[in-house]
Amino acid sequence: MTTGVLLYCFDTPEVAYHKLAERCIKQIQKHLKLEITLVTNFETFKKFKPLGVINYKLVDNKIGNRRSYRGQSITWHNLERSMAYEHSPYDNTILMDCDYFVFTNNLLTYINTEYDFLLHNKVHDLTGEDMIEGRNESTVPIVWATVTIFRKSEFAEQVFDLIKHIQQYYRHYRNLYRIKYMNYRNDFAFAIALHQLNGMNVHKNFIPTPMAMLAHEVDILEMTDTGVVFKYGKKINITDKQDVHVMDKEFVNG
Amino acid sequence: MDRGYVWFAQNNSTTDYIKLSKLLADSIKKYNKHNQVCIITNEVVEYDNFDRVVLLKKDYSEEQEWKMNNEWQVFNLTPFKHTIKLEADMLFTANTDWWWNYLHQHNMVFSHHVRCYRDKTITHTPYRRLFERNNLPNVYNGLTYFRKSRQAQTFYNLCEDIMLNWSAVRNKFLVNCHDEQPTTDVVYALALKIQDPLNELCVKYNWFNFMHNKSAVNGLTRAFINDQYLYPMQIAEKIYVGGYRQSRIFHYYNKSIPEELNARIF
Repeated sequence: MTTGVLLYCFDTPEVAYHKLAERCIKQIQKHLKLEITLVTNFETFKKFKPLGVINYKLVDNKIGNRRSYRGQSITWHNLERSMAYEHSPYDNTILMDCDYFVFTNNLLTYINTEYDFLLHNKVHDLTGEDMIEGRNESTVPIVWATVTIFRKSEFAEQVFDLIKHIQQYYRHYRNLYRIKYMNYRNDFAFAIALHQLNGMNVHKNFIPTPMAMLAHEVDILEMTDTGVVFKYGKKINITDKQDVHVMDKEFVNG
Repeated sequence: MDRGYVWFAQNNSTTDYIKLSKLLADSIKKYNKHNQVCIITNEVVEYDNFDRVVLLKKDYSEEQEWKMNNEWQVFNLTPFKHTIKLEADMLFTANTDWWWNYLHQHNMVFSHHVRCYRDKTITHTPYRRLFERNNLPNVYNGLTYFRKSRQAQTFYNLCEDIMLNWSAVRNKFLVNCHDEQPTTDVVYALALKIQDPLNELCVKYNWFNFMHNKSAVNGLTRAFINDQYLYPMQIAEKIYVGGYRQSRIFHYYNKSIPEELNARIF
């Protein structure tokens, strides 16, 4: 059984995602020590500095989606993730956002479980402000596609097939599930797919611990060997040996 | 075993509870093998799926719009030895035959707490502030099991005393209660607290509760209208609320839901 990490990275006019991916890959190589496959486009590929032994898969990514970031509407290339089942060369895949930084090998725990598909359904706001999860954003509770662990299996294939369908007809699903946001979000597409494939009922395809997260409003001051230093308002704090999802996309610019 | 489902069905100026009862009886018959149904009412009704229709000898709710003052009579009027008491504005969505195997071992089983459309157990709602203020057990009369027993008889005698002496009970026993007429849930909770203050007789089954289709139970803020936002619909024979397939007893607050479901069959 092969195991590896699958990353998606496409630079946009506003965000140099390749710089985030470089940091992310360094952390994976240090802590998870797994093979990595990076799905990117040619324009972004050209910007990467040498990253050691990793696999590249070059695609022409779909465009057109946007997101809100620090009060602005910016370009967002997030439509390729539905192809992860086909893009992954591994039996067990950790599909990860390139703004998720591992400082432990905790994710390895979830590779050989009885579940073919796992992701987070809860987040932990490290500032303690609980400003990430809103109320009544949709009738089906959000899941976080940031870290998705799946095994090549009938169920996982069905999940990704359904995600493709949901993505294609997202306007309908957005209305059906009363999703508050106008743009396409993988988080909701994954939530709907799992909800429907589990018989429109509650299911347990969740990583048991919440995902540690720092919201858009939080600035990352520094990334050290063991964690990140972050600032929110007038408060500064650090994480220590904890995997973290960072929403600040600008700290890598120096 | 002599067992069945019983509920009260008395129409008022706004709601035809007999009509709702027919739908409930239909749903019980559809899903259950043990499906004896009895309604207690104040008018003669003929309907194939009502196995028994018991007429009230004395209607204590004659003057009331919200007719709840007869509820204590269920112990005397039920034709069954083992009774599950329901409310008319409910629908069954799954088989419950297996319940009897657990329930018949006890004198009384109350449903504690309710479920939201996502099948999560909801323990606190703004509708139950009086219960919290008075430290009453969070029971719902809409789903109660009892067998003919001294315990059940004592319980319903207490309910009778509370209901027929409501203004005195309200002023002397309850804190911050301003209900002009007794509501069955409060009466049940108070009677239970008087009868079993230490919960020694309490039997709690996690599965013995229903989905309560009210906005605060479903976690909606006041900005949302429950049935517009969650849009209950029927696909084949299954009821879906907010995209979730319902598998508990579905207790609706909006009495036009059956018609709306009927208009939304896919």
